[in-house]
Amino acid sequence: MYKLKNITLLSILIVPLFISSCTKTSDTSTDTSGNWIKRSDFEGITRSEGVSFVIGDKAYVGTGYDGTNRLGDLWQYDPVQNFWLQKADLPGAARSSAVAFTAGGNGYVGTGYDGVNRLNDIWQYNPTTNSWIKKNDFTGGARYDAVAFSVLDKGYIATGYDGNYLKDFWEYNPATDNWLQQVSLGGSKRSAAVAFVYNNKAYVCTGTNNGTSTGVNDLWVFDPSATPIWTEKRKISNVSTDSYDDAYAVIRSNAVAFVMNGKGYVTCGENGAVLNDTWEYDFANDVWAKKTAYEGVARTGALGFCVSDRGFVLTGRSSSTPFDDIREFFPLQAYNAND
Amino acid sequence: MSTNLIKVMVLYCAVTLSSCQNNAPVTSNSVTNKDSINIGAYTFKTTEGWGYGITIDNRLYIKQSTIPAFAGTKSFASEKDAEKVAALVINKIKLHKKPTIFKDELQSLQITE
Repeated sequence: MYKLKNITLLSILIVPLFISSCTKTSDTSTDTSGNWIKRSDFEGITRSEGVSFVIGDKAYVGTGYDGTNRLGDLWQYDPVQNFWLQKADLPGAARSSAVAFTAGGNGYVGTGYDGVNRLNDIWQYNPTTNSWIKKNDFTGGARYDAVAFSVLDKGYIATGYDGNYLKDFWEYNPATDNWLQQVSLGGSKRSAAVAFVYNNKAYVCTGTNNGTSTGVNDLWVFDPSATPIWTEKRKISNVSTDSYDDAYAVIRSNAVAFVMNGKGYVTCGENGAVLNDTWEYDFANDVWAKKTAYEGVARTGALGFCVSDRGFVLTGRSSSTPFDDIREFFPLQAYNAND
Repeated sequence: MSTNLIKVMVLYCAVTLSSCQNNAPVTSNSVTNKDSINIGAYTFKTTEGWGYGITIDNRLYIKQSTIPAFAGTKSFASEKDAEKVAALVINKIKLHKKPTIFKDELQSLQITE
């Protein structure tokens, strides 16, 4: 009897615990049933040629092209809780092939293509107030498919296409809202290249130059404290007589790149066909290693970002659409088709 | 007798527990076709108003605590407003469109910036 009493007491304690844990007093149900659609018809935040930037532990994804319209929306992604929140629309023209960077705790989005014109406007996004402010136009001139990055809280825009392929390089000072031309990249002019930043140095590679069949195979590193500011690293294709580059197939355009756990990653993009193979760059040894391919559908014009050392690849396009809208990126794991 | 009681209790707890595995509101589980997804919505109270959540297969997909598309950090003034916009998002997804809300859609629902 004593035992039974104990159990009863326990149950009185436990049951309300369960109940209270699922009582969401503030959440009420509205339209909840009968909303089934075919999985393949789920569109999500899908787009290609969008931009992304990371502020703190949140990522932002916006603009782009959905096959019909240029887009001007902005979404915040919470990688911890895995949900999206639609933020303030970009007040400027809806656009694709724009660039974005983060400096001083704000996001910046600019340049791109509105379907008719190449653009040179620059907008600052403040995540605290969820609002945009127009900044001084990019003095490098209207263009699309440029690259942008930030190093030590200054913004940079390089390369792109303004009717011609470009390799000029511009520095933005958020404190003075001014653009200043810097020494250009060496090597090829290019558009639809990638840039990634590690230890306050920016690496620019891939891209296309007038559709040359051999592709753009030079890799340049920008170090604001060095003279000269640009240095060339080894080629990203098999050009050496040594064996380290025999399997290199990094050449592509419209790829995504980011840095995770001290390594650079380049994945997706196109080079004749759309790609999903993944290459890891070892900064110290200047070598590339092929890693587990991106598990989503091969795609181009996708987005990639890294938040708290977790990499994500999302959106983009290929001949088959739409895609799962976001996938965490595990270049070091063995491929598992069932996850 | 005590064993029976324990059984009942375990069962009761299990039922209670399973009923709260869905973060969002209960959705019909009668369709189990793997080729389909289930879209749900709910509203929630914010500090100064209302927001909505959209679930895909009972997993949180969008949690909208501020008014989409508008600048600023305002929530919806009323639960009704949040419900109307959540219903609009669901309709878009059902029509195979992106869940993006546009400013003119908010204006036509008399929701102002």
